[in-house]
Amino acid sequence: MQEARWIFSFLGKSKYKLYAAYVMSLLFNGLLAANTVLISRIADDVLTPMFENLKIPTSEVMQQMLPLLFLTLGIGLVAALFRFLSNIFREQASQKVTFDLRNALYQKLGLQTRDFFLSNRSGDLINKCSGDVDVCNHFLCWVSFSMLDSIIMLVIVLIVFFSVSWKFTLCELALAPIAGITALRMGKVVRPIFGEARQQLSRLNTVVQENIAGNRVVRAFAREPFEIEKFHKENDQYFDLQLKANKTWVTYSPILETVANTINATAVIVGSLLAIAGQISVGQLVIFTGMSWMLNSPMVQLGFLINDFQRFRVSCERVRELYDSSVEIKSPEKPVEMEEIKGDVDFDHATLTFDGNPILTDINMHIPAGSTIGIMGPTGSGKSTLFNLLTRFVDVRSGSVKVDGIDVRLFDLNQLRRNIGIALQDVFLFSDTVESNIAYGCPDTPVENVYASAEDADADGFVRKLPDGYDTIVGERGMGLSGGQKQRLALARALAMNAPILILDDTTSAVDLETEQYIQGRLRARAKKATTLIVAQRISSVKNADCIYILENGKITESGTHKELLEKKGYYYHIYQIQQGNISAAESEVQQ
Amino acid sequence: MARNKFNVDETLESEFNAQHLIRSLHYIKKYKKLLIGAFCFSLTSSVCSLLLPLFTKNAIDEYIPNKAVKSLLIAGFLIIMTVIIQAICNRMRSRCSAIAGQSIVRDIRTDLFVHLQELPFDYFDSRPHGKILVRVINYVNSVSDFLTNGMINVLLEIVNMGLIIVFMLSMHVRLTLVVFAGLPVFAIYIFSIKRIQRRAWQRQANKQSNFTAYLAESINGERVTQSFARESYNAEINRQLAQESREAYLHAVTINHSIWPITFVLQRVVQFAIYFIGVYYLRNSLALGVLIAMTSYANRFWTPIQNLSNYYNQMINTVSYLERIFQLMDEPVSVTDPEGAQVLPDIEGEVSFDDVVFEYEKDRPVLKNVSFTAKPGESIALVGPTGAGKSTIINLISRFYNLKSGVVAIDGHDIANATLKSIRSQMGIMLQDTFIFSGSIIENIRYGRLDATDEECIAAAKRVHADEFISKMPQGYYTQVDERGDVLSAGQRQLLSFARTLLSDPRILILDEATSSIDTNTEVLVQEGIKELLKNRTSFVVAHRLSTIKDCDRIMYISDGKIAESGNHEALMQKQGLYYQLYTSQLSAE
Repeated sequence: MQEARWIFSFLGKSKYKLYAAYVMSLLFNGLLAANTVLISRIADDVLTPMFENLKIPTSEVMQQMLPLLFLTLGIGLVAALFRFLSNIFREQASQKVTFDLRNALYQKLGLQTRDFFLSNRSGDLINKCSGDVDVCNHFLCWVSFSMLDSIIMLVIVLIVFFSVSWKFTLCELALAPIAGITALRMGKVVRPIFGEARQQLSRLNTVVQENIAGNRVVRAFAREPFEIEKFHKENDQYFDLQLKANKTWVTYSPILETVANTINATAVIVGSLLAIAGQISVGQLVIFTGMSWMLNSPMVQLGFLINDFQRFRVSCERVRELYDSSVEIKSPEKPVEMEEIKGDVDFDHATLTFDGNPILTDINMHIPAGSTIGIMGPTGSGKSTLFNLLTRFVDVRSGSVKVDGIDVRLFDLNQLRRNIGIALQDVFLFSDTVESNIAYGCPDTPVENVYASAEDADADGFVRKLPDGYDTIVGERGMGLSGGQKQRLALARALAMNAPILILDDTTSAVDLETEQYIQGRLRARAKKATTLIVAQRISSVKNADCIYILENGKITESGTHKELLEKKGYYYHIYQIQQGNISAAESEVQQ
Repeated sequence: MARNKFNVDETLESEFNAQHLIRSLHYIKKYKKLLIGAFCFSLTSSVCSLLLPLFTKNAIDEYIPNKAVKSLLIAGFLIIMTVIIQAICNRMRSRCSAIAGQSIVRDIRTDLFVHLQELPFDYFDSRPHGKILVRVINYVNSVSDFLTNGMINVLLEIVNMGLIIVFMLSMHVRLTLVVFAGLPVFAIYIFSIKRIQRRAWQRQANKQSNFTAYLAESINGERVTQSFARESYNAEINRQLAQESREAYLHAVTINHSIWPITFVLQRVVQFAIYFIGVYYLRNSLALGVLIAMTSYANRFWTPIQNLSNYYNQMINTVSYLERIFQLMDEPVSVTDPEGAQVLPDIEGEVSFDDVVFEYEKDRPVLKNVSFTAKPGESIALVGPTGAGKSTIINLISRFYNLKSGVVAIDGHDIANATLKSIRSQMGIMLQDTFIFSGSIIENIRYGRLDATDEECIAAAKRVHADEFISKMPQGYYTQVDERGDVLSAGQRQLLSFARTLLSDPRILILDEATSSIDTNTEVLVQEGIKELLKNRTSFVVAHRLSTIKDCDRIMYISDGKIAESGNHEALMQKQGLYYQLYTSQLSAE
């Protein structure tokens, strides 16, 4: 019931709507009963005398009957209205909960970082936010109503039965414990199966999703049969689990049904025996047999309700898991107020470890506002992680990272990130227009800024050649564009922010040197010079930086200007030799 | 380019089309026996449930007045037997329809998935992936209930209605006609709302699809969103989409809920009319019992109609999902094995283009009469400005698209007549877009050749120098990775994808910007690996690094969909044409 309480707590003011729906549903049932009474009165008081005594004039009969008939019509209209409103109210109330849950979960996802996304597959997250929320909605809207109906029905029938004959009632209830035990047992058995089925659906979701996202790789390796086999495995497993849940249902529900229907039959048998023995009157027996369906139907319902309730519990738990998931990195309660950030960046003995393995060790960098630094180093040496510290995708284990002399952990997270324009190594574009993609970080920016940023990133030319220019919708992840084009859009996206700090994480690896040089020139010419941090593999990308850092195995092993580093004859010099070697060989060739 | 994004509804025909339902029969047919079985069990169970009232009547009319305890007990025993039979029948029905229903779900989903494997890239590039996903997963789940239980129940209700009509007619024909009088009114109502109702459910499906698409993309791009501090802005978009979906649902469901009250009120009106007409006009020809029985039957007559109207609602809803499912199934497959396609034999590696014309969109040719021949073992670099057609040439070698005219041949076999599998399985393509599947690192390498042993996978990783970083990871080759997580850097992903290609041991190798994110030291090592890899294989390389290009046997400068220059490095340099310009400008950039 804990889950039910939790979901009910989302109703807020809408709970009155739900209560109103409950009340109207009860009133509707009451009106139905009233109608039955009215009809039987017409039969007994008007029609029976009329047919027995043919001398009564028709007009007199009509005079008696018409008011009653109109009353049934009126009751019918009101009852229909109640039921209609009850349905609408419950839909509205539970949709409100669905709406709030969807928003809350979405916002939660926005707060999560690395570790969370590592341990939660996107197929699972999508399911939690859509399918599982829908199951909760179904519970509020339908299952809770059926539960209430059943309970009220049971209470009424028991009161009537006990008041008529307690002996008879006890006989009737003798079998009830069997039903109760069966239902509880079924609930216990079926719940883990529902849980597995939901998880399996998530796995299936993941396989299909990856197949869609990775469709180029699948085609390139002609792996369609392998993918289909992978899909079959999960699809069949889902099929099996669904049937396993059904197996539980068909194991227990016949017992419930037999017990429930036997109660009906025994009502007649025991009632008749008691009548024959003179313990009850035939009239009382008619009441019993007429009402025993009210005892029977909640029991038949019980099976369905337990089933649905367990399904709800499983989904609700999954939703809650996401809802309650802890957020590791959040804004401080009282963030430092900053009107404008200048752009000084400091890494002060910054150290980071994952699972005990050092990722970054004692990083010290002082980057004055407006300057440009370059970072080079082997694949996987921790270059991107440096930026993650600055943008707070991870927090340092010890030491600190500062902007304008203030620890980044003291800023409001959004304010901090809004002051950093970043072009990530792994380009992700959204399936939206080129213009919206460039303006992603500043949706209200004037188009002129979008165009200017695109020009600075050397993207304007190819964008204008696209079928709809800036209004062309690019594919999810930028599919359909070349690597170089994607990188240039990502760069334009970062530039459009006009942020005081700019991070370029291997942003020009897929563009040719000429283009890169053009871009660098444009960056230097920008009106407001941002503090720029460049990660690159090419000497040409970082050569002109104010300071170049070499990162190896999470440590800074060299730093200095291009000239200084060449003199050191270390890693940088070595890379320079390799790249220059190719060039000078080429140059001598050209001169020939 | 008809492209779609998260907040654009997909257009669908507005007329209700029973075609979709008829088409779904194709899936139902296979489980005909199960469904017929389920129907028979239901019927038996319904008949059993009718026996109890009969028993009650007998008890009151006969057993109690006659104090016939023995007959009572015998009849009671029999009744309890029917109770058990009923439970068994219901059990069988539930089992039959569950098996049929889940099988139908499995079949439809499989067909969708298999079809997805054949669709062109453009299909995936032109819409949010969430919109495809929701069809394969959610919609398919939504249709199964109507296709099994719904169908059975509709039949049961019709049988039920038929029986009641027979009873009524046998009792009193004229009053029966009075009961029927309510039907046209009901039919007019249903007919008049049909269009709005269908639109409402289509709209609801659209809004749901938009919501899911945005959600899915948001999850995958969360990193970017956070980097740009756009969470609250996106939350507002999500809120808008959720709101639209809620409104669309409430609108549609309100229409559905309006049907029941109509039937209820009609039922009351009919009841009124029976009493009125019975008393006013038929008083002399009617017995009281008949009148009361008729009203009770009239009420019972409307119950199946009310139930049918619920199934009707469900059907409208189901059809709006079915049409999207079938729409995806009908999505044309442009590249497929032709009739009598031949399996390409083990290839030597000669690739030739003969007067190839290609266009993505009509009358915008991307390649204009391209002809060349690559000899087996030759390495060819493709250079030229962005959008000139380099990637297109590469895509055509693997037959990712169909030509407008001309022939692409491998070893003299026109690849348009060969099976796709036999072409692509002999080709290794390293794309710009690396994709990492969720699973372990070794599984991702093995994607290149499924029967490779662990040792072979590790050997491939060693050759591209990926072993260095993999062995440093917490679980080494068994570390779990996926597309979105940032366990791997871009360079590491490229190395993995390289190992994957190497493992597949292709005859023809295509490298499309394959090493752009790898650091120089590793690249030098990898270059050695590449050189070895290129030996005895025909290869096509698209790259920006001069060193990679220069070493190729032949360089083709592609410009505006044509081969502008072709020859080896020295020859092209002497020519002092486009390639020379490119090369020297790159040098001055350094």
